[in-house]
Amino acid sequence: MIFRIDRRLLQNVDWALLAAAGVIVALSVLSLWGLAWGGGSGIALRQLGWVGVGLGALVVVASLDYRTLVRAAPALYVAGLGLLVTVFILGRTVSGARRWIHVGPLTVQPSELFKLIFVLTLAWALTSRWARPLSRATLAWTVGLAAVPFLLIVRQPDLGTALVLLPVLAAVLVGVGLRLKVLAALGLGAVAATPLAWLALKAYQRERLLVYLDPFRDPLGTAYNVIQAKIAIGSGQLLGKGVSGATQSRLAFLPERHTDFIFAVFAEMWGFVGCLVLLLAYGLLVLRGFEIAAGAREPRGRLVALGVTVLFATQMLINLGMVTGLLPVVGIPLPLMSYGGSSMVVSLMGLGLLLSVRMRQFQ
Amino acid sequence: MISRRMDGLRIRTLIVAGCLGLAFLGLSGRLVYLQVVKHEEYLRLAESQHAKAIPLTAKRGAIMDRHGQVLAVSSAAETLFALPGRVDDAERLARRLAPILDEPVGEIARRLQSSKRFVYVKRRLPPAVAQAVRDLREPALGFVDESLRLYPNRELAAHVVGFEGAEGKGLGGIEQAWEAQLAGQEGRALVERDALGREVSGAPRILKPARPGQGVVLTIDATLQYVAEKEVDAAWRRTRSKAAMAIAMDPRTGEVLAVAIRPTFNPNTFSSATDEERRNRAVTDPFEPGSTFKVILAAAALEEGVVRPTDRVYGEQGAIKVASATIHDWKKYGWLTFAEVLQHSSNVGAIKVGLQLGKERYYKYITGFGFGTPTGVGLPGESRGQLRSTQRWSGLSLATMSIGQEISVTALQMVASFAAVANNGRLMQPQLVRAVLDAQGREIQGFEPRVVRQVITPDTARVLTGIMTLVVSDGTGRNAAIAGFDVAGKTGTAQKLDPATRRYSRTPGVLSFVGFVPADDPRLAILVMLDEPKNEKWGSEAAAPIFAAIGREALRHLQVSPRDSAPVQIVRGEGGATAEPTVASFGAAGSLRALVRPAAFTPVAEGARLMPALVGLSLRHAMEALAPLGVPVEITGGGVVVAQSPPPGAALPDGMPSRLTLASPAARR
Repeated sequence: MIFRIDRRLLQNVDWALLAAAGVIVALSVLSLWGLAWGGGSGIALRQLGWVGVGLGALVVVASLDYRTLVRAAPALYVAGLGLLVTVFILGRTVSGARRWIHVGPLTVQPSELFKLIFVLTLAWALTSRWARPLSRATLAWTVGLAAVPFLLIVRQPDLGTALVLLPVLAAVLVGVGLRLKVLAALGLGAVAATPLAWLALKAYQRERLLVYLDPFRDPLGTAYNVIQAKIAIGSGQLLGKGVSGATQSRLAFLPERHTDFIFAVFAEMWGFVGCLVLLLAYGLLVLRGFEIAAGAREPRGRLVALGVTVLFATQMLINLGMVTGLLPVVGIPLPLMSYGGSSMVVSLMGLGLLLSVRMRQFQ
Repeated sequence: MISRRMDGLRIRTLIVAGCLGLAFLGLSGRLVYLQVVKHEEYLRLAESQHAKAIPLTAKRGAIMDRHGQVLAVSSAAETLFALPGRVDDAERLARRLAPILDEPVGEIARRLQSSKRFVYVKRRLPPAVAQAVRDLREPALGFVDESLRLYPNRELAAHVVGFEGAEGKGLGGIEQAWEAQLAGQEGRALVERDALGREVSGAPRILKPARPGQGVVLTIDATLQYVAEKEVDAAWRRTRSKAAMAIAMDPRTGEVLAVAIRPTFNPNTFSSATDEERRNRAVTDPFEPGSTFKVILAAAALEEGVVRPTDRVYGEQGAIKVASATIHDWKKYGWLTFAEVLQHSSNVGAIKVGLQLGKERYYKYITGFGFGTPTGVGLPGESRGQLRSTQRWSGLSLATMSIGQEISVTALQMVASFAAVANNGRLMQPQLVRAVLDAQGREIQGFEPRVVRQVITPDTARVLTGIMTLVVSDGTGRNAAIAGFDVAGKTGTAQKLDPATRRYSRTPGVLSFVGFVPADDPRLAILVMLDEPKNEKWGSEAAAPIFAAIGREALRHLQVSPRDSAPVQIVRGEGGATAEPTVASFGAAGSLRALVRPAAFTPVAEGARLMPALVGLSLRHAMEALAPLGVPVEITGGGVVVAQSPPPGAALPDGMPSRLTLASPAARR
């Protein structure tokens, strides 16, 4: 019975990790409720519903042995690629990108789900018996496995999600013991490929990068998001304007305020102090992730934990960097905060993977 | 071996964690920059995007007389604003508004088409008009509360109280001088709009509520003020003078009890008044005092021992030559005692005493009595008068100044100097404000009487008072006598220096009488002055009877017992209770007749003050009806009176406040 949960396993549940995640989720629901203040709270309730679904998924994933999941990685990888391809066939186009497929009343974002499959696949590819010791062939094989979904996601186009995969790849390679010299060579190669990437980018993606370099290039166009987010965050000051005073968010000046830019809403309502609380919760969560990775007794657990943690941290940092105007606008959600079923469920499943590693580290 | 490798991997994990930690720090730094360092800039940007800040006018504090009767009060009024961004058809809206606001269509349309986000359409609308506009249900229009300044007693003490200008700032009088206390603190509200320019909520959101102003309690006694105005008004009309005034002061404290000035104005409609009417001549217009100034000379001469009251002075048969000029008396006097010099107001006698006193000593007492410097009573535009230093006196100056020429003084300086004689030689600081009250009516600052200086000794003051009593009992001031009281005073007549010829003109100039009463224990110092009367020439014939009339009524009001008699009780009504006579009981006269609106006013029955019927009246009319009764009033709401307590016809016991509940006309339905 794979669902039978051992008493010993329960003793090793990482409650600090869950508490940090709980705080973040609570703040998410609070912010969504605040956004709808005075006009119904449907969206906050729906988010709560997704949190419930996600918690179920978390429990299921945590109760599974991660080693079983790593062994299942090839099958998951193939299924995931299948879903990514399906997007091109059945996907609905929203603002120029095909990212979602409809399953009954729901829309699912396969690229979100694929992030976890990506981590499991890397762990599988680098720790299988034939992959040891690490050789050039293994490295090439692993990079190749990563490149296929990367390119598919870029083609959707969903540059943000695709870019998140790169740091995960790098972190897992560092974690598996790749010599730093080799890693540096790979990094240089990536930099050398940048001009080529520029040619591959779509016009709107180039524009976003240019706007990042100069936000006032087009204040009512693409840069509008960045400027409005900065105004919302900055006007939150030290202590925030509260729910009723958060005029920038509530009066619809801020675009994408439920999803990618929810941090600006939060920052306007609760100010620097509130942001600090949120960042500490994220910090604690990520720190626990690294603890779990470092505490893992064998490479698969370590790589899975490292991959999930870096995935989580990278998404958070890129999202916050983008909302605060430090990075160009690449549409990725803030894990556990942004409104959206796929993102919430996948984030909680990722935490389930971390718990699975943690609970079994003493076996 | 394995453990070493694992240690290496641990370090690698730390490297990854360290990279992310650095990114974390960078992010926190960014938040500090945005939310702490630059927050003001972003707040401003946010506000400019979504909101227009509009000021909220603070309710201005009331101005009251010494007994709490309201002389100026603010009531709620609504100001109509428009959000031009939401006006789709300015012409149509202007045509709808024009008949209600009584303004030209073009003018309104121009405002509605403004490029600003927020414009005032019309300020301070009466409740009925505001309701009519509200009934239009135009989404582009809205209201903010402002206040409307009311002067329920109209002309009463208008020059002291001053008035509030169109921009809500005090202009003139206490309204101007005490602006800081009365004005309160402006609040701020926001009219919000969302990213599509839609107004978010109908009512502006209040960021900072307005702080109401403080109340100012004057030393003015409304009843005395009314008496003084009635007499001054009558005299001004009878003598067809250019101006007339009376000031009453309590010599013991320097408190100004009444300042009546003609011509005057109604502060409710100040904009139609001329500057001539608005000017507080009692402090802004100095004049040559003439013979009244001989009292100052006498004070100096007696104090310095130059003369005694019984010393004889030769009258030179009515003419004296000083420095190639000849100065005449109206009568050819022979030998006079010094007391008789004042009694008959002999110029020759006064000049001879003045020459003996010498200019330095005389100058010392002139400044000692406060001439040549503003009194500091705290009214805007106070003049210091004109007093040259002794180095700049000509050979004639000492002589002319002995009879009150070549010097100009304000009426307030003059009455204050006489009050000093009455107050055992102590000059008191003239004072108009007794206390400042907070919005709840609690006293937060009180002003005590202040002695400026002892000018002459009490003995000299007593001797001088004796002489001044003779002036009234057996001299030029006979018409100032008040039955039952000893009056001390001095008449004055001054020709005006004709600016064209630099000679004293033949036409009458300033007629005055200054005195105090009762002479042995003075309670009132009063100045009466007529400027350029057309009908009468002599001070004793014009100004003195006004002094007597005001003094008589004022003494009765102050319940001062006449000489050699038991205290008089003013018994009113069946209860036999002593009540202060109210303004209304003196009967309305002159321009103050309009003070009582017949429709609203239930006549005061003998013996009791009755509550008039006020329901349906505007606050202004209700206050006008209540003003003469001297009843404290508590007001709630704004608009027209919808309920009153006590009911119409009920007796008003002293000190019992009446309550008025007001509402906008629509709420009455």
